[in-house]
Amino acid sequence: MPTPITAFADAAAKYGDIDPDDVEAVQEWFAEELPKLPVDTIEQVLHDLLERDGTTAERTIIPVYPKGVRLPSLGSSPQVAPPLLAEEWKRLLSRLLNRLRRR
Amino acid sequence: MPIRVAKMTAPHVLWWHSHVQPIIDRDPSRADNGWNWLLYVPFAEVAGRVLIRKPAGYTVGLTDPERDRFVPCALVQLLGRVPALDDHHRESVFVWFLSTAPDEALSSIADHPIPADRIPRRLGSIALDVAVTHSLNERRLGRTALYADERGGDALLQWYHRRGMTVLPDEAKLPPGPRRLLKPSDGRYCYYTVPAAVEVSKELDPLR
Repeated sequence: MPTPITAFADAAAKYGDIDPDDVEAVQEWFAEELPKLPVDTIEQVLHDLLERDGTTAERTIIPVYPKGVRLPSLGSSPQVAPPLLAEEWKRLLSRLLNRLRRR
Repeated sequence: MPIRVAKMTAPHVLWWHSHVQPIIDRDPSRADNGWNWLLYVPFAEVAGRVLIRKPAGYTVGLTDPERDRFVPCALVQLLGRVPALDDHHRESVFVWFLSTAPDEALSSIADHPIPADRIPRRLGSIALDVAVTHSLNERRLGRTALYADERGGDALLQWYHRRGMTVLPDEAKLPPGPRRLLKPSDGRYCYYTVPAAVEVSKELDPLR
């Protein structure tokens, strides 16, 4: 979704009274405060962001990249379950599609 | 180093924003230039839950068991339950955000550089395959859709087309929902039909 970061910042300012130029505060608001808001407000935020999807940012927000972040451990990155179900579905669908093609 | 598909977690996203995104942001030609996953993931999770869209995030990464390290190479944020673009009565997966690490990001990790010959190829295809696999697992029969970012231009659209996706005509009506009004079809929505999803999924079977 090519929604400019300024749209996120403006939503945080509008619904959370956050300084839109403080990108770390905006990030924190989306992570911590947005989930606590009423459903209607969350839907309105989504509406605001989609409305600006594909538009060009009218100002620049300088990104802040965290420093000294270590690579994740394997323990924090468990392998998702092997796609057994996907394999079964694929086999079943392949058989069905082949049968339909033969008709 | 083997490739692993893991559920996306906060450490993955934080590391990505600290190390990979700055390198992506130096390349204005990339569609994901200027992205901020620290915003997208919590937003997609909250909005997806509120709209009952079953959000899910995955990280494709390299594993290094000796050093207990996981190197994120691609991030995929999905909605697991949206109306299909080609049949509004069926359900589909929607790829909301997808990003792959440039080679430079993987070869320049300070304490863990990945040698050039170990950098995984076809990361975009693998990330898209994660979405299709999720669709199969969620009984969406492989139906998967996405919007090809305008900044990727015709090249990005053609890439998805070469991966077997169908481009929704710009006059086609989107399924009911906020996108129909706010982000109508403009010839950049792409989707997998069931047969196309099965075919593209088979292509990567040798790597599983």
